[in-house]
Amino acid sequence: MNKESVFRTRGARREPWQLAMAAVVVGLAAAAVAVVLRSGVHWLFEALEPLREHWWGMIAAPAVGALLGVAIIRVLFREPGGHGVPAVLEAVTRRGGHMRPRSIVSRLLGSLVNVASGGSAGLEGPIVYSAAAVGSTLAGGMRMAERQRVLLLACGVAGGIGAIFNAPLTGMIFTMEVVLAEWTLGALLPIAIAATVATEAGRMVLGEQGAFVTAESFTWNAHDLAASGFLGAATGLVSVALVASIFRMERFTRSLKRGFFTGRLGLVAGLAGMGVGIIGLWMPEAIGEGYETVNAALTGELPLGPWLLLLVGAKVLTTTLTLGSNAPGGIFAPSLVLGASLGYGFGTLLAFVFPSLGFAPPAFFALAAMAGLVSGSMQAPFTGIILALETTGGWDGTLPLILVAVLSVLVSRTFLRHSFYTWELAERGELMRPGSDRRILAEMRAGEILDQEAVSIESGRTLDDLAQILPRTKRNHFAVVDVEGKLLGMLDLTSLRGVIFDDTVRRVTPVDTVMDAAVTHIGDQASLLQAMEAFESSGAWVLPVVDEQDRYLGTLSKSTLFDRYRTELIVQTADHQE
Amino acid sequence: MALDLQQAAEMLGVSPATVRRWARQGRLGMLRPSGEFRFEPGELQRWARNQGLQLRQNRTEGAPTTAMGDESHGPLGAALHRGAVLHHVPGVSPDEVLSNLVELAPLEEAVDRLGLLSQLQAREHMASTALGQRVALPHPRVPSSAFVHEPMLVVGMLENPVPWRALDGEPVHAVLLLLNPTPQEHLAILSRVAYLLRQDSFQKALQESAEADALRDLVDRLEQDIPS
Repeated sequence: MNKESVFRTRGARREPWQLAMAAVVVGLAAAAVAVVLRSGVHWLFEALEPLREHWWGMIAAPAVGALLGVAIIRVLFREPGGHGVPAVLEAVTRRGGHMRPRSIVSRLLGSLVNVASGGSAGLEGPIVYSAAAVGSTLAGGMRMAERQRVLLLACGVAGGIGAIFNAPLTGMIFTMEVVLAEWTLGALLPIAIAATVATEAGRMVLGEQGAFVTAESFTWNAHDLAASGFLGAATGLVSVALVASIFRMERFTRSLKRGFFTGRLGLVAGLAGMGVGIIGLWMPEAIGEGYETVNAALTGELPLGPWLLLLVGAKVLTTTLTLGSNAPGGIFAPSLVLGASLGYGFGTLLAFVFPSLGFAPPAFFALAAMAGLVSGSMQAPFTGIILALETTGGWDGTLPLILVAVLSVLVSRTFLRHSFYTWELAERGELMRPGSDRRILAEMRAGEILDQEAVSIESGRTLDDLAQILPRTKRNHFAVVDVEGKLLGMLDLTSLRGVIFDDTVRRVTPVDTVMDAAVTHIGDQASLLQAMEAFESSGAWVLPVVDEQDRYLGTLSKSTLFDRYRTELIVQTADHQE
Repeated sequence: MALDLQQAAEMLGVSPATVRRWARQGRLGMLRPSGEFRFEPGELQRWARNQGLQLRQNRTEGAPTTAMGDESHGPLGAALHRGAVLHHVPGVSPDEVLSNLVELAPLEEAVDRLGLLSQLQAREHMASTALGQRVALPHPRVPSSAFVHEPMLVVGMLENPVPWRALDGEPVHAVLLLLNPTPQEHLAILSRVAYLLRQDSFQKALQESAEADALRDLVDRLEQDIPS
């Protein structure tokens, strides 16, 4: 296709409206994905009911489900395993919002099988991944540029979360806090529209009931708030235990992948799934999505005593086995179950130890601890607070909930430098939030800012030849190149000052003998992040830039880099509003 | 008139590759760019203003330039044509000569001639501008566009030889007043004057108080031989 179209900067005023309209389309598509996932899990769970009546079925179902889930993603769709949120974050920060269309289906199918058969995981991981891919694919079809593609990807996420949990605010806030890490009006408007449209579409199909029963009305006093402080610290510790143990397990899984048998077809996930099934045999509350457990806590119907402590431990274990073995699924649901049981236990303990103080009912603390665990494991307090409030309707408990969520994040950040979602990217050095130094540098290429007027001299010439060039240039750095233009070394005029004015020395000194042959060089496709590292490790102010064949292209100077850095900072952080 | 990629990049003070990346990243418009780039200057200006970017369209005008010649003259010849060749300049001391030169130089009306004189005196105070061979090269201590907007050379043949604290002790017969708006131009003109002073024909012309037209022609001729 050779049709030449003309590019214009026109239409900046119309852009927010066009994005808003695109957000409606993306929201509807994301809702469709959410409906398929939610009803698919429901249907498959019911279909597997007869199997769960036998003990071997209880063990086999999660094992086969996890194995199949991994196989679907890795073999059928040829994608890496895991819950997928890091891949979405990477698409946002490093790939200009680009995701493959097949990603819409891959994790959706994989986690549908895994979660419905009893894997201890939730649906927010797969819905985020699928709905993000929906947004990205639609944006690609509309020929959107990268930033707009990222925004529509984010619209997909907000819509997907909104529709599957019947929680539009949660969708919006999760997207802004975790996926984009950017609070701009330009992003908020389309995301809010997508969340609204998608949630309503989801309600029309899935019903108006939220993910959980509506919490009863609470009254609480100052001492409940004080007790919430302790609960916040406890939820923080459990979040840390959960996330750290999942990552231990994940590292172990990764090390097994190199083995001949253990690396195949999600065999590890299958074995881990069997472990989940065995735990499920004596504690069925610890497997699957576990929404019944949350509902029981909210209505005050959970069994009491040490059993709750066992449930917390068992849930951490099953979630570790499922998510740590790369079986597909999300961490929202397990966090909510853990929070509900922990908070419920905490509440009953308070009532038992201080019967005369008249603490709020255990369900009140269950709700607050749900927010605490989600906040702590994702290190996203806003998301945790809104998720707990919106899915249960427990707005009466807003104040203690905030306290628990914030304290949980405080504790979590004390022990973990990164959250469940960002860990993987941060380990690879790929976590680059908008407007951050690393992101700005990473987006620019060395070839963009190199000084093309830089002068080179062929190997074998003398300093006398160099002296002939000097009056015609303002440069102080000269490259020595071979006949093909490949870089051999650099000459710095300041270090030649002692010899360049001596006629005799000049004539008998080939440039090869005085050049710096060990000079660090930068590829023109290298990011300025890499260039900056080269500047810092070499201590140089000017470094040569070469192409893929090592041919000399020009020099890159630190001062130019700093000059363009500010321009780039301005452009990258501008909120595209007229 | 629409700008192409190169022109837009120059206006923004970045490279074309950067503008292309901005377009791909959706910072210039909503859609992926395809085909040729065309920018309306007004739109680009508005975009840059909204971003808070400084445009660099005036960069070449405000930036220092090296001395330029015109079609029929080299830089020095042009400076001499803007200046003057004066004969029988009176004065018995450098101060008097300078004072008279400043009076006679074809400067614009608004120029602060007293200020110029004190600048010339300040320069002489630092070190004599008499380089030997009976010639002095007075110039302001700091090149400034307050006095001239383009390089100007005023040649003054003195009525009487004036002692000028020259290195070789000889009194000065001829004075070359150099006025330049910027240091860059000052250096460019100075190096050309130095070349001229090494030519016997030029020295001879000064000692013989050559006529204005003859001197101008000589400068034009000699300047052609200077490698640029």
